[in-house]
Amino acid sequence: MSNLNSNFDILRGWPNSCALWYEFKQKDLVTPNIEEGTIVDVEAGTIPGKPVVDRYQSALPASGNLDNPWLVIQGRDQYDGRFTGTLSCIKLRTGVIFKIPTVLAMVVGDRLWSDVNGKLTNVNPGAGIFSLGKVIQVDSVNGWIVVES
Amino acid sequence: MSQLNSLFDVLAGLPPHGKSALEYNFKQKAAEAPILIEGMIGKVVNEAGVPVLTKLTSANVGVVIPPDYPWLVIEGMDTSDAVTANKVTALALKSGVIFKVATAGPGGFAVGDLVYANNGIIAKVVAAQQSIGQVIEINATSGYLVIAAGGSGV
Repeated sequence: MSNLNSNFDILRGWPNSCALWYEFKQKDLVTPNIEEGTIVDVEAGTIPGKPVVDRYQSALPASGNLDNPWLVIQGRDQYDGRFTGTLSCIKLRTGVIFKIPTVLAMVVGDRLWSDVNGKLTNVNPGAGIFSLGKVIQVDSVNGWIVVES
Repeated sequence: MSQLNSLFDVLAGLPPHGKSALEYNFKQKAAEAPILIEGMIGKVVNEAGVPVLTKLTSANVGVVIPPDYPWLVIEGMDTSDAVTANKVTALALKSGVIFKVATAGPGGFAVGDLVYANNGIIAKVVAAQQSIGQVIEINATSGYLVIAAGGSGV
């Protein structure tokens, strides 16, 4: 979010009237490094009880519950993220509106999921898999969308 | 949250951490046993026209069963404030909160597990119980879990 040439930004929902925010370490040996705007999920790391995050692909939990995706707002592409060794994330679906670059053709109202690379996609991965947000604005000239989640 | 020796804490979801989860006060259901204490999960039911809180056991996920609306007790009937006011204080979990809670058996949990309410107590989802949140950290030595709760389908 501090990259000067970035199209990524949090417009509403953080830090005031905001979504849940937390910091996680990136999973060991993940390449390339996880950058801002990536969708991740929490998993067990090598240190007992301590969480790590990795890129997330939308899927339906076996129990049928909602999945639990997080949005990286400060990644390892930024100095702070490299210095602290952690990623700053916000829990999706807890109230956030954000702007994010995309190369995909999208229209207002599209529902969004996370693809295999942790990037937003409007391609439905399968019946019953919960979307994690909805497109509420599109700027195809500059290549970004605004998402509510 | 006010007990000095408590492992329970709200880490995010209440000011000054930024987000403000929805807070409300309820009477405890008559003859509730054991009493509602901090860290328990409750649900609102009607008692002679008065909304009261009682321990929640999560329903299973299903198309015909309406979703649960779980509440996290942050000040229970084990505190003098609640006893004096005759009301517990609770947070609507779906409004988003990250909290730390003691558990009798942290060894049964893993980071990433979904959890549900079993008679007010947090347990690991093993079938199709409606989840109230996800375990994002464990301290087996001290005996607590950190749980991120909140979010709704879009």
